[in-house]
Amino acid sequence: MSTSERQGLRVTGVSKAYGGLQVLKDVTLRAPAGSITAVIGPNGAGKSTLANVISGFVTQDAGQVFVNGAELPAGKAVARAGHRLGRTFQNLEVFTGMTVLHNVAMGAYSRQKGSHLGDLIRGPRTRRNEREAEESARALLRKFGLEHRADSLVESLPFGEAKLVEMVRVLAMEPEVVVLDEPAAGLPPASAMPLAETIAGMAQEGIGVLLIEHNMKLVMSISEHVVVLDQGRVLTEGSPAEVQKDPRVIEAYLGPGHAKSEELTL
Amino acid sequence: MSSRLSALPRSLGRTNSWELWITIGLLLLLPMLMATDYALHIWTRMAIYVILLTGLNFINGMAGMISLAQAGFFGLGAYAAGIAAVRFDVPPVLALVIAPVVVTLAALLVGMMSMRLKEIYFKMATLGAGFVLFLLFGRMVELTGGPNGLVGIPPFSLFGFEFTEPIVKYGFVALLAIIGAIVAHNLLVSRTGRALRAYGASEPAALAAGASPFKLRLLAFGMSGFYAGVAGALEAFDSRFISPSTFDFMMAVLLVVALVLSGAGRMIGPILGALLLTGIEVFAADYADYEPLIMGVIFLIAIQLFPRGLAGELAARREDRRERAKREAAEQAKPDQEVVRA
Repeated sequence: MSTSERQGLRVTGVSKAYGGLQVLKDVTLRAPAGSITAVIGPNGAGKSTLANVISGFVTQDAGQVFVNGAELPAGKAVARAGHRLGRTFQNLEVFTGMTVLHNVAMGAYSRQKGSHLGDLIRGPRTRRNEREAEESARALLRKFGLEHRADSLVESLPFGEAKLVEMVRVLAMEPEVVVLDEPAAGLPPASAMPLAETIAGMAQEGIGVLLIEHNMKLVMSISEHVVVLDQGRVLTEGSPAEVQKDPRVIEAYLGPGHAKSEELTL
Repeated sequence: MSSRLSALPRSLGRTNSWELWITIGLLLLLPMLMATDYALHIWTRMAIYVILLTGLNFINGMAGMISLAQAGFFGLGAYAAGIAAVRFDVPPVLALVIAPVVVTLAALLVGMMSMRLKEIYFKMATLGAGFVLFLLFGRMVELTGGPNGLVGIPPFSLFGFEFTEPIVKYGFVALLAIIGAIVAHNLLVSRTGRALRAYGASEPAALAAGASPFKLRLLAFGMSGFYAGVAGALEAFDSRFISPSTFDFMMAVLLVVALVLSGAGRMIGPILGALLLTGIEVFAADYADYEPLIMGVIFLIAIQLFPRGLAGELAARREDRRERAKREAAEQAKPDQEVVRA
């Protein structure tokens, strides 16, 4: 795909209400290809709902989501892989009972064509797909230093590694856009650096990364653009430095006496 | 990790070709151990159960949903083949094709209606479907012969050659069981099978990876119906007489329990389950009045001892040993743990 076609993610005018509760109000943002765009905001700002609308787990009341200019069908999570949009989850979502290799291969399968019938008789295409999926999964695991874990059951891995497997599975989809829902949640501080490198690596490969994150240190260190959500609206956006200085952000996100709160979020 | 996952057996993801080979090996070797007419009759029943349980394994094992409709589907296959042969003079070989088609369609219908239901409701819906079939077998007297059963089913025959010799009968059923096991194994290790299991392990992640749950589960349902249809037809041609009581609630539960105990979702589950079912049938025959009691006690004890199923238990122990060995190696090599891993 040529660079001109790689526009990344575009969200326009997305609104969502649950009963009388307006969770998202006219949210518009972009996560351009090859860069990291962060979405921050206090609890209840609508970050998770936004992630769910983008990835099709929640149907929005209004607004559109585009990947590389193509509109994604609202509320169709299963169709996202075909549009090369991948996501991770706030709570670890891996395929237990399956090896690390096969967990990652699941990502690779998403971009393959093949019939169920072909799989039943193990036809040539099935074999080819299988080989290709496992080879690309193995290559990715090698790249992320998880090769020695390839044949372990995913539930036998420490939390941090399992989180990484989830991310590698998304990369196996060869995504254009990746939505990361709180990737640092539950990780020990020591894992923050490797995580930052992993995310930065995604952007370097031309993926449009939308990073939804609580960990301000992580957000400020790797994001090019920060969007602040508050009560379902885009409060402000800009470079990390700009956003950090914005008094409205300090008010809304960090609250009064922010120096103390900021420490807590680090 | 979500609690739904605990329903899935451990170690599903490891290569399980050896389990396929054991299945094939047992199907080939058992008649050599004992080849009297009576023994062959028992082995034939066992091979039919292998097919039936392999079918059930698509739903109860791979998709991680508990279906209680398999006994009804088994019966529908038997009656479809039996009625075609007895009432409409359809040649047995054609009846053997008709039965799985009929049951597959029925299973797809039941699947479409019940699949979106949550676990317990799904079980009840499938149980209901099985029960409706059971009632129909007894009530549609003109077609099925009612409670007295359908008599006069011809033996299976191919190009005028009748499969009446016990060894021929067994060979034919075992051949189909082996083909069925190979196809199931293909599916289990393919992206389709993995997606099916992935969906049972993490619904959101499977969706995000583009695996369509509806299509996959419908496929599992259709496959289970197809296998039940084949098994049912073989049962009809083997017994030459079928009655509703063979396909009752007890059977529905027995099938599920036998599969769970032996290892649902594993390739070796169906053959172990079939051995268990046949064993119970043979030994309980002497104490027919106490059959439910004996089975109840056996199952209670077995579920207590092997909550993960026999195969699941063995695999889990192997896994634990492996992990312990790794940990010990890592302890010894402190502080540089990671290097040792490989």
